[in-house]
Amino acid sequence: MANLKKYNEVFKSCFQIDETQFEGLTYQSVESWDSVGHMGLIAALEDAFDIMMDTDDIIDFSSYKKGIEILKKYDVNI
Amino acid sequence: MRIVDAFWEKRNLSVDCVEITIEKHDILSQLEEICNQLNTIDYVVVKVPVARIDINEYLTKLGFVFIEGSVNFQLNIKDAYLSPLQQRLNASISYSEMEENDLAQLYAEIEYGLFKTDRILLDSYFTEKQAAIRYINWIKDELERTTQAYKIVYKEDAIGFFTFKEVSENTYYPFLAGLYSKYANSGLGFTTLRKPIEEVLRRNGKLISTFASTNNPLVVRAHLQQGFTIGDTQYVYIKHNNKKV
Repeated sequence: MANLKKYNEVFKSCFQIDETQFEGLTYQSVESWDSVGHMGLIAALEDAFDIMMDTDDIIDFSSYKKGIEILKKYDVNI
Repeated sequence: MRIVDAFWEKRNLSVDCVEITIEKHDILSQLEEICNQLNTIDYVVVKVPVARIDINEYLTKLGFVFIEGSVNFQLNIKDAYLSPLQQRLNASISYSEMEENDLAQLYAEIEYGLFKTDRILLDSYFTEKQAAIRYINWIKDELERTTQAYKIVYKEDAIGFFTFKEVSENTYYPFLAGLYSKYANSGLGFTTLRKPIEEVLRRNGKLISTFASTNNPLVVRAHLQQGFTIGDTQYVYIKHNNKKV
């Protein structure tokens, strides 16, 4: 539960969105999730969970939902 | 004022085209005189410097449509910036000059819809196919001159491209760049600005001068994030004198 809260906070703060927008949230579905926003999101998640993601995972991180799956690889269960 | 017979648009778009660039100290009466002679030209493009409301109003009265702002971005290479995360990713991405098969891939990507915000594609008078053909012809023409085209590579896979030419001593113009469709949502778009910077460094150059459309705020934001500053901005107006039926 603590991880979910952290995960959500990162999305809210990076993209200036609220929780009602998480369902179906994908890369470029909101204006702020562009190439620059993506770098900000990944950097913030790495900080929040104290991990360093592989390039392939950063490339694949294409949605709110997909991100939850990817973080499992780093022992972050949401 | 500069007036150019853009004859290449006949081949690209099947229209007669004249492009007028208004300069800062031009007066309205000069433009009025020219516009009176352009009623038979299919497609007229007028580029206006900022804060020339007199000219903007005149063009609007004549039926011209505002289609985009064209922003000049400049970068002194010593001011180039990448975040620590971008530096980490950038280290695993390379670039190299394109060969024939790479160009074929680029042209296929353009036909597939690589560019989505240019003023030709957004203009309902023209088709997606025409916009794509125009880009391909532009690149082919430039490659005949002094331009090089480079592919951007991650794990031996081309993820995007940029074109590159020297426009004056130590100043370079990467006039087109983009990510290929497979990597469109990868977050690696920053490399299409970064790799030209590295090429300038390799050539001991100092400056990059390039343009982005206000119809593409993502690219505007990416330039600012990497340290580019805004030079001039032009407002672009268009008029079709032969309307489609």
